Order: sequence, then structure tokens, then C-alpha cells
Amino acid sequence: MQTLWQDLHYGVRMLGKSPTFTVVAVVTLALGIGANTALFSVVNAVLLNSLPYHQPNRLVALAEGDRETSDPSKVSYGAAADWKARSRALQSIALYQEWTPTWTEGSAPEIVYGFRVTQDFFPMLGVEPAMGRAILPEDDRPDRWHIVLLSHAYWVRRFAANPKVIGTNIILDQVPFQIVGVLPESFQPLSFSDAGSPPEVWAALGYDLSLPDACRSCQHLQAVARLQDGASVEQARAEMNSIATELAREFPKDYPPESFVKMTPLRESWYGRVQSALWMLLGATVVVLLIACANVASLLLARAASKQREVALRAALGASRLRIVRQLLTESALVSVLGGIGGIFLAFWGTKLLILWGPQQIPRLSDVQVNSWVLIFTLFVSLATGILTGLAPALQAAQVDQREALQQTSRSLVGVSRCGFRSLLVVAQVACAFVLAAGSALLLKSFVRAMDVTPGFDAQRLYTTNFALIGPKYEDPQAVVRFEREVLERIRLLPGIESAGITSVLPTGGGLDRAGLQVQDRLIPPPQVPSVDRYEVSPDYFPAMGMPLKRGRLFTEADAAGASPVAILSEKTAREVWPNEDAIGKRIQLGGRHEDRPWAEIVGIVGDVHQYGLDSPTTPQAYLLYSHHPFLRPCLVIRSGVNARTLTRETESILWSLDKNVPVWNPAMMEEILATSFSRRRFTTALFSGFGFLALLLAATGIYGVMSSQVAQRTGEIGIRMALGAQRSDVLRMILDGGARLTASGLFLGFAGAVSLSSLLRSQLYGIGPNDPLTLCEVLLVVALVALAACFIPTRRATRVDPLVALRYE
Amino acid sequence: MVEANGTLIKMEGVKKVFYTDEVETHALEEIHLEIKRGTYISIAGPSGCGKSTLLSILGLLDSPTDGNYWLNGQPVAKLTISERTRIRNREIGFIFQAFNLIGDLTVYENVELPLTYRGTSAAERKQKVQQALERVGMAHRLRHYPSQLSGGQQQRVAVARALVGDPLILMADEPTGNLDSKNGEAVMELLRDLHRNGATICMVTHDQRYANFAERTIHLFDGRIVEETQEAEVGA
Ligand SMILES: Nc1ncnc2c1ncn2[C@@H]1O[C@H](COP(=O)(O)OP(=O)(O)OP(=O)(O)O)[C@@H](O)[C@H]1O
Ligand SMILES: [Mg+2]
Repeated sequence: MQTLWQDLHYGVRMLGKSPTFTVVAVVTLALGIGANTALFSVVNAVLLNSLPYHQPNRLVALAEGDRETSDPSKVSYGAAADWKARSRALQSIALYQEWTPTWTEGSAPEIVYGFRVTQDFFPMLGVEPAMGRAILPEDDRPDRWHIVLLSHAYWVRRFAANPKVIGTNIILDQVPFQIVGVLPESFQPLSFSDAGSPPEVWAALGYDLSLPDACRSCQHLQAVARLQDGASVEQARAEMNSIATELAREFPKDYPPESFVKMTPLRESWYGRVQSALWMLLGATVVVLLIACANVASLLLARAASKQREVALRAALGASRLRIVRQLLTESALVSVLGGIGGIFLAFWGTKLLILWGPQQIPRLSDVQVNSWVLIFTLFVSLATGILTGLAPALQAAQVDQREALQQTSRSLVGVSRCGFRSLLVVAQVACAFVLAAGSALLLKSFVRAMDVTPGFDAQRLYTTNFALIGPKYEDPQAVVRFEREVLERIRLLPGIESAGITSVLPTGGGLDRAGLQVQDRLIPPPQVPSVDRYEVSPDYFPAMGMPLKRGRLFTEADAAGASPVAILSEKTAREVWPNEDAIGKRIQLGGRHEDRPWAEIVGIVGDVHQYGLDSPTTPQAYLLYSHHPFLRPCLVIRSGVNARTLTRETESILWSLDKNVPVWNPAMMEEILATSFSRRRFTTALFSGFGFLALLLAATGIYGVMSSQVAQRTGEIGIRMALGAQRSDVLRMILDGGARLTASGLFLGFAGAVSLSSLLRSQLYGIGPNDPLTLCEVLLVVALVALAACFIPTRRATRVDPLVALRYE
Repeated sequence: MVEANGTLIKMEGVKKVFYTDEVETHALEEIHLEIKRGTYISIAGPSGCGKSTLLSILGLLDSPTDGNYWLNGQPVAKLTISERTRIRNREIGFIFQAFNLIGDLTVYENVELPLTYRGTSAAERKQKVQQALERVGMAHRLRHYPSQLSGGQQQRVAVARALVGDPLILMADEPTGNLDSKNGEAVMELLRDLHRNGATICMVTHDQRYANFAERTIHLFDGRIVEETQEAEVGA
């Protein structure tokens, strides 16, 4: 204990004596540890914390797939009922569905984000209402489901946390719902709505098998299930798949062949998309920390070399090797603890920024905090850092031959290289920096390429907003069409408007319903029926979006007013279904084949649209007329030179003059929507590139340090060479050659590393391979240039050596 | 080229002043000196009298504060840095008290060094290095590293390195200073041999015994030449 105290005391004194070294080392480590801690706190909150439910590891998500749908996310009520009846490995299966009713009691009608869930949903998660009662089995029926639970936040915001609201009614979609309870504040919903907003109201699903929507092929619900005690995921998965096969055999009309059930642990289904990105980012910070460690180790090695005589003296005076190692380790441990403290400060600050900048698509990002687990992690990392950085220098110093160090030998020799291990560190640093820089470059290029994708429409000067028609008066489809036509006509009369249209689903919003495409003059066996995304639009939708007409014609107002159905296909659909023929004039039906119903004539072909986001491929698309297939929740698109705020005000006044109960939400310029759809990619790319930059910077400092002390060590040698006739250019070449060799070895290793790690990156890339040779070469060049720049100052110093040093003898 | 007994080095009124921290050190004052080709000259004097400073100016490692210096008939003052380096490389061979062999290079590579800086072909380098090492009796240690040699051997290698490029003049600053007397004498014998074969040598020493090996001895005191002695029949 006494000696430890002495070591500490001495260590502090030594650090105080060389403030530059101390500051550089501490800052370097603080950067590395800070980045790690910040990222770890995110990973800890988002990925490592168990889901806030009862026995979360026993929860799985279910989805129905078949040959067509290889990556399903939905189930049907009918199928879930079949599963419940047959499965023994699943204890219970709860269903839920996104629900966005309109609330019309305020000054303006408002959309409320919510879910409709089966009565076993909350019990399965182990969640009980903080107030009031839960959803009871008798609520979960088609005639009784008009009850709601409020989220804690909504209760506080809308009802000022008034406990008396329980039992009162709230009008949603013009229907009274009885508020039966309030959920606990700690409750975390399973997923957010597409708009990324947390759900505020929870109603009963209210299905039974008699409803048309409950059919076995009506896959529009999501399912979560709890495994039976003792059953493993594998067992349950095997059981469910044999049940699916069984069902497909028993009910060939209801289930497509090759039906299967996709079962994923709930955590995975929830975090799947962010998981790999976060682990990748954490990996990047670990690499940054390793580079920082290498820098500090290198600095400590340089110090150890300069302390050789001191160490030899101590050894001669009887200090044991252990004692010497411990003394030196104390010093590096002190540095790393200081670095760790700095790192925690940086992490506090960094996590705030992460939460601020992080996209909403990362679940639970707001839970991120520097808590005790994170601090333990940091402590561990700091200690590991201390040992990692201190061990090599300490061992090297302790190995000094006492006799040799005290004698004046090797004076006659100059330029005996003592930078062996430090050179290795530089090689490793360059390699690591290359790996990160390559990753950054690939991500950046992916980002640019994804941004560069032509969406299939013109996003500039395009305004969009959503509205909904609610209430009994719109049960008449013609009333819906009349309303929508009236709105469009009035909007077109506004000043500055070029065109305005409506659609059922806006691009990047995906598809609402995927339907089989039937061709009148071709009988396609059911499994081969091509499936397309179906959109209902007004005639002016295409010009408003700026979508190009490829062949035929667009919808006309006459089409819309007339009764004979018409359709427009995207190029991809036309090409796939009629590879060798003109699709114009062909007759189709979307959905099942119904010979008794009219067939729609294909009148035109338009360009493909990236409907699921710019970085997702285009899908087969078919457009029908809004007036033939009325829908209650249109999305309005307006092309104009008018600003968004004016347009919002004017559309609202038009809509509300027709019906004051129409909610209007999500007004935005299309360019903003595209930008938002990139937020996760932007987040990952920005962070990773930041770490790549930091890595490059640290590696450059490392190279600079090693080259500097190499030049310092070789001053005598350089002087002699100059006395013997080495020109400055010779010296320049010699020193740069050394630096270039280290850099080249580092780049070589880094290249190998980048190629072998590339598969980890694949899922994050777009439009570029993880081993893209051009990118790797560019990065190679950049890293090489940075490394050479880092060599520049030491090299210049070398060429300034005075040959007179050759004559000096000390 | 100058004829066999012509003047190789001429100095007139050379001065050297070091300015450090507001202190002026007058290391050399009014040095007049002429050295003929083939001469063996030694510079002697007490410590700090300016011997090394004079040698460094003679060897183009440093330049005088004032005065003129002609090397081989050429005024040195006008030379650029790279010309001076070139002349050091081709016309001057250095032998240092501290041997100054480069520890990372083998004996062969150390000796080869001056030749590599002038772009001699590999074959010629090999032959010259071999010859030079034979002259100093170290040809059997080509692949050794300096740390594997004794001090005397190291200095012999250094001598080989100084003469491998056939310089006009050899400059030696206390070449025996780090050697015991036996090794010291061996090196002095070596220099005398070289001189007998026609080399011009300029050697700093404060050991009177070794100064006597030379034909001429210049005595320095406080930066001035205070005395000059001639050894009548050296090498006879
Ligand atoms: N670079 C320098 N800066 C300042 N003063 C110097 C420098 N080099 C030499 N001197 C001074 O010039 C004087 C002559 O030094 P020099 O090295 O020539 O002496 P020396 O005769 O070679 O001595 P020694 O026998 O000890 O080698 C000394 O007073 C020395 O302190
Ligand atoms: Mg001297």
C-alpha cells in the first residue's frame, strides 16, 4: 500500500513535469473513450436493455409468408384463429393494428395516433393500466370495441392528468369511445406508427370471424405471441410451419401453396434494422479507441526510451523488475483514468447530441443515458486502455540491461533504430484508419447515390398534405368522390397552382394494398398471378407529381366521370406482364378474377416510382381512378410556386368550408419527406464518417509522433550522412522512405482488413459493393496522402540538420 | 587540377564568431594558412582553442564569419549548400573522434555511403569499398555491424570510409581520442602509410606524440595560430 501510494505520488509528479505529453495523451484517450461510451450508452439503451415487458425473451413476432411474400410482416385474423386452435408451443397470440382516428372536439379536427389491439395484448406483455381497467374479453367484439385506454402522455397533455376522465367519452371518428383506463407512464409501445409518433390511444381490435376483414387471406394485422413455458423458439417455429403446411392442404382456397410462418424474437423484429447499424458504429468507436491507445502507447514508449537511464539506475539501486513495471504502469493508468474522466464528459455531451440528431426510427433513442452500466463500461474500458497502453512501454523499459545503460557504450554508433515496436503501432494505426475510412467512403457514396436516385417524379415545388373524410355521410361512395372532386377543383382555382391531385398512398409511404393482376385473355394459375401495388389517383395526380407518360394516355376527367373502368400501369409492370406485347388496350382486374365484373382497360403506361423509398427498388405498380374506387384518406399533392404555409392555410380553409370535421395532417414539401426518409441513413453515415475522420486524424498524429522522434533519434546519423555528402534531397528521400514503408504496410493490412470486414457493411450500403475497387483505391490515396502529410514536418526538420553535429562529441 | 606540389588550401584572415545568448565567442581570429598538396599537417592546442572549429571550416561543414578561403583554387564563400555538400562528398574525407559509424548499416554499407551519394555504379562501389577496406586491414569484416567491432576496428572502418572516394584531403578530428594507446598508434600508423602514398591529411590532436607524425604542426591558442613547427624528415 505504501509503495502504491509512492508510485501514485511519483506518477502524478512525472505527469506534471511534462504537461504537453499529459495533455496530448489524456485528450487522445478522452476522444476514444468518449466516443465509445456515447455509442455504448446508445447500444445499452436500445439493444442491450431487455424489452420492458414481462419475460421479454419469450415473446415472438409472427407473420404469414408464401412464395410471393418472402419477407412478410402481417397476418390475418382468420389465420391467427387457426393457429390458436392448433398450436401447443405458443401460449397466446395477440393481434394489433395501427389506428389513426380523428378527434374533432378541439378548435381544429386532429389525427390521433393509436392502435387497436386484442384483449390479450396487454396481459401478454405484462402491462396493467395505471388507472381504470384493462381491455376485457367482452370489449373485443365487433359491436363493443368502442372503449379506449389512454397513453400516460396523452392523458397528461389532453386531459391535464385529470383522473376523472375515466368513464367519460371521447369522440373519435365522430363516434363516442368510453375512456376505461390510462396506461402506466413507463409503458413502451411495441412499435410506432409510420409517422414515427408514439401511440396515444389504444382501443380493442373488435374482430370476430364473421367480419369480412377477418378472412384467412386478409393479412393486415400484426401479431405478437408468447412461447409456452419450456418451448424454444426453434420448436415453436417448426410447429408453426407444419401447421401452416397443414392449413394450406386443408384450405387450398384460403391459403396459398408454400405458406409458412415467419417467427422472429420480438427484439429482433423490433430492432432488426437498426441493430446492425448500431453494432457497426460501436465497432467503429472501438477501432478509434484502439488507434488512440496506439498513439498513447507510442508516446509512452518514447518516454520510456528517454527514461532508460533512470530506470537502469533504479534497477542498479535494487528495484525489482516488477516494481519498475508497476511504477510505469501506474503512470499509464493515471493517464487513462484521466482520459476516462474526460471521456465521460464527452459522452454526456455526445449522447445529448445523439438524441437530438438521432432519427426517430431508432426505437427508444430517447431512453439513452449515461447510467451506471455505462459508467462501469467506461471504467472497464479505461483500465483496459491503461494496461494496453502501458504494458509494452513498461516491459520494454524494464528489460533495459542495467550495465549497458550505465556505461558509455554505443556512443560511437548513431542511428540504431529503437522504434521497432512504435513502428508496428503505426502500421496498425494506418491499417485501422484505412478500414474506417473505407467504410466511411462507402457509406458516403451510398448516401449520395441514394440521394441521387431519380424518384420517378419531380419532388421540387411539390406540396403534400393528408386529410380524412369521417362520419356517416361518407358511407355513400359518391359523396366521397363529390367531396374530393370539389376540393381539387377549388384548389386549382387558387393563384399560382399548376396542378393538384390526390392519391391513396404517397411515394416513400410504400403500398397499401398489393393485389394479384388478372389478365382477361390469359388464364394464369393462381400461384403465378403477378402481384402489383395498387394506387387510386385522380387524373391530375400524374402531372402534379411530374411523372412521365411513357405510352398511351393519362386518365381524363371524362374517364373519372364515366363508369367504364380504366387502368394505368407502370413501365415495370407492363414489361413484366407483357414482355413482347403492347400492354395498351389489354384488360385487367386487380384482386380476384371475377368474370361477372367489368374489366379495366389499360390506357397508358407511366414511369416507375420508388414508392418504398429512394433506396428501395421500384415495385410493379398499377393505378386506378379515385372515382371508381373511392377512399376516405387521400393524400393531396399540389404543384405550385406557392410556399407551404400559404398552401396549408388555403387547403385547410377549402376543406373546412366543405366540412369542418375534416382533419388535415402532415403538411410538408415533398423534398422534406424525401429528406426524412434518409434520416437513419444520414445518421449512420454522419456518425461513421465522423469516426473515420477521427481515426484518420489520430493515425496522422501517431505517424507524426513516431516520425518526429525517429528524426530526433537519428539527428546524429543524418548529420554524419550530410557530412559525408548526403544532399538534402537524399535525406528527404531517406526519411520519407521510412514513413512511406510504414504507411504502405499499414495500407496493405488495412486493405486486407477492409476486404475481410466488408460483408458487415453490406446491409448498410446502397448502389455500391462493399469492395468497390474505385472507392478502395481513392481511400488508399487519401490515407496515403494524409500519412505523407503527417511525415512532412518531421522530414523537413531532418533536412535542416546541421552536418556540424557530426563533429560534436559529448 | 593543381600540379603535384601546388596549393590545395589557402586561408586569409579567417574569423569565426559564435553568437549565443548575447555572448560572442571568438573561436577563430585572423587565420592565415596555406596547405600544399601531399602535406600531412596537424593542428594542436589546448581544449577550446578552436581546433575543431578550424577543421569544420576547412571541411566545409561550417563557414567563416569573415575572411577568405580557397579550396583547390576555388573561393568557397560563393558555393551553394548543395555545392558544398558535393565537394564534401568528393574532395574531403572525414575521420571523427567518435568514429560515427552508422549502427544500422554493415561495415560494407558504412564504407559505401559516400559513394552512394555521388551515384557511383554498384560494381565500381564494390571494388572501391573492397580496396579501401583492404588498405585498413578490415576486408574480412564486411558483413559485421559496427557494434560487433572493437573501437580500433571501428576507427579503421571509419578511415576506410574517409578514403574510399579518393578525396583530395583527409580531415581527422582527434582520431585517436577514443582509443587506447595501442589502437591509437595503429590508426596513426595507418594515416602515416596513407600519407606516404601521397594523401593530404589534416589532423587535429592535442597529443604531442601524434602531432609529431605530421610534417607541419600548427599551434592554436585562443583562436590564433601562435606557432608553427616543421618536422624536417618525416616520411624520409
Ligand atoms: N556551435 C558553437 N556555438 C558557440 N560556441 C562554440 C560553438 N562551437 C564551438 N564553440 C566555442 O568555440 C571555441 C572553440 O571550440 P572548438 O570546438 O573549436 O575547440 P577545440 O579546440 O576543438 O577543443 P577540444 O580540444 O576540447 O575539442 C570554444 O570556446 C567553444 O566553446
Ligand atoms: Mg574539438
